Amino acid sequence: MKDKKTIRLEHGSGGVLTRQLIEEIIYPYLKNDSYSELDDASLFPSPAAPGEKLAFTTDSYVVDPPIFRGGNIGKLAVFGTANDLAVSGAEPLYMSLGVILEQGFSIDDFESIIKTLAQSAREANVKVITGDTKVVPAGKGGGVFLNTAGIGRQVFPHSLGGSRVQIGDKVILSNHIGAHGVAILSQREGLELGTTIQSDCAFLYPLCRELYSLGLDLRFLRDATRGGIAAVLNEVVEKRDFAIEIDEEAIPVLEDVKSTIELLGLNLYEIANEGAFIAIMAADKAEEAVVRLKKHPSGSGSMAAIIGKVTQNHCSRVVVNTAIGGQRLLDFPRGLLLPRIC
Amino acid sequence: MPMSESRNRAKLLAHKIREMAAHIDQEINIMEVCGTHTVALRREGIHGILPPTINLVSGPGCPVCVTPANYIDNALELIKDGAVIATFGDMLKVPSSTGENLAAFMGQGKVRTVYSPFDIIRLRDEIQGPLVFLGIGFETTIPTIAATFKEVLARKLSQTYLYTAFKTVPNALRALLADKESRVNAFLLPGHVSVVIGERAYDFLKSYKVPSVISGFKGEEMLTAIAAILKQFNDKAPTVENRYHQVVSREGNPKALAVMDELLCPEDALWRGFGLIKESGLKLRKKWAAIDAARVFGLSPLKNSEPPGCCCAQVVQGKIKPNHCPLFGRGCTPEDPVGPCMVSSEGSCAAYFKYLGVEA
Repeated sequence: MKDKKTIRLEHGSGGVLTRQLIEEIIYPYLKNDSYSELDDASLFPSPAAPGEKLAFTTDSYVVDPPIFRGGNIGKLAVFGTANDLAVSGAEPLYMSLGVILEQGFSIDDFESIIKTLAQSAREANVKVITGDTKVVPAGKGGGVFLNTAGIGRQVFPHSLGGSRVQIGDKVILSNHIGAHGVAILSQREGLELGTTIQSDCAFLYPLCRELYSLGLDLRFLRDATRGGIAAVLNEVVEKRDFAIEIDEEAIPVLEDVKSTIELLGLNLYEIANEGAFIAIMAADKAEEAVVRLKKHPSGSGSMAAIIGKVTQNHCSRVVVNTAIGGQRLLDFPRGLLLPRIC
Repeated sequence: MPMSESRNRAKLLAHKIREMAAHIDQEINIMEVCGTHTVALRREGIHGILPPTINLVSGPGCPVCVTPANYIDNALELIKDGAVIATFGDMLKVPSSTGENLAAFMGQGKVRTVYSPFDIIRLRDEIQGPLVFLGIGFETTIPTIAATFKEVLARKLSQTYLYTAFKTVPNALRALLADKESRVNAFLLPGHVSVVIGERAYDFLKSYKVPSVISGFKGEEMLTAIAAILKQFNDKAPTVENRYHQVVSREGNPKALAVMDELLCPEDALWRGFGLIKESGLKLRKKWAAIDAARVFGLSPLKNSEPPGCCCAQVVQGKIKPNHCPLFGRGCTPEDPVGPCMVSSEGSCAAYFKYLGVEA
């Protein structure tokens, strides 16, 4: 009587079951030349400009609550879509907006979401050029859901999907982690945590561009959204002949985020972020990359740090060096972490 | 990267531990009694720091893991009879004796998860009909639940019930020591439980001459406690030591003990794996029968039955390591758990799977 044959909330948590759903149910049917890797965005030749490539991505947003400290679902939709293009080496240009509203949702709240969305689009220099609106009966939707597609122009002409990663490379985290998850959770009904932690939701293209300029020494980029850095790092090492070792003490995290996470028994490594990415760099360029991120005027890379390295031991696994000199594995997220976090 | 101070101190402790272990002419099997230690030890990677003669053995301190399967059967029965269940998240995926779980009823609002038992006071306003809180846990969690139900009684909240399967630590230790098959010859005693019951609650252990140390949960604290255990072996002076003075007193927390005593009284409790252990649980006192879900709804008494192939019963007694169960990582994973030790975040199978891997 196991609930094996129905969709569970864990299928949407960015971990093992999400991958299973995509790899076993979706991908086998839809596989084609241009959808050959499970990356955040797909690159395809521009029909109009020979030699140029365009990047195409899509994303859906179901965050609960839709308005939270440090942003709202509108900001999340624009930056999330733009960031997926940015970590694929593309400059974000255009996006679509699909809105699914539930009967009874506050029009004032909806307007404030759209206002923020427009403001974020201006900030990211992205134009919303098409859209759609649907309303579902009360009780059949979660207030407001957004769906986007994004189109960008490839500006970094090499793969950032992990195929160029080499033993000896360094792993960089672009900023502190955990804040988005804690901000969302602390505003959920019934959890009066008394924190003022803000979501880290940020536009990451300017930071990514800093790293593009380091050329081939930039091996890999991925924003650490759903499934957190645990999912990203495991995706890099999966089926590859190397491992990643990270140093627990080197992970940047805000003190109040850390204490709230401990209080709630959450796993910092698995929590979704909306303003941080993992970059893998050639060892001799890693320090320079961190300096560039740290001094970027946006401030979104102010706590960037080298958190680990690519090694030969423990192939295909991610290993954490603990503060007391022990080691443990860092696995793919498996359980249900926090539903509807992005 | 610069080596931190704590890494330096840990290195010294590890060195001290190895040095002492070299002088001890026997295998040492330290049982961590508490589920939080089970996770913390593996999280910090302490197994890799210790010499091969020192083993860490997980004990019965994961509340979900020692709760008999038909407790979930009874909870599901309550739902079918129209009640709403409020519970900590850890219980959601524990399989009943027929493989069902509470998580399946969340979508219908029949099961509500809480972070604190006090959330049920708020839930009471929202929910029509009977509301039953699943009372699982050790001395760490019991006082807050007792305090919540004291409030329920004070506010005369109607149809709000407690279904108890509370466990207490001291007599479980006695049962472990009485077991002739047990390999355990030292205890890492729980930190949080000890805050409530105090160092005094372990005085009886002294007569068993088993080195025992109360420990905190930080990496360095656990290494310190393990070093203290080895020193007792080395000095041939087994005793009960408190290495968590910062928060654990000799007498425990009188307020917490008082609120427990006001609502609850000892009972012989059924543990998964161990069977019935004398006075190792707490139930609602007779005078509070009106809020006792087991009495009000006439729930079946708890009984032990294990899913086929599942070794949780041996795991919670420290008789086998999780990876020696034939189902570990094969039929039983965190996505599709068979036994409670793989479900609970404090379960030793879950901790092994997560931090050591299937091949460990």
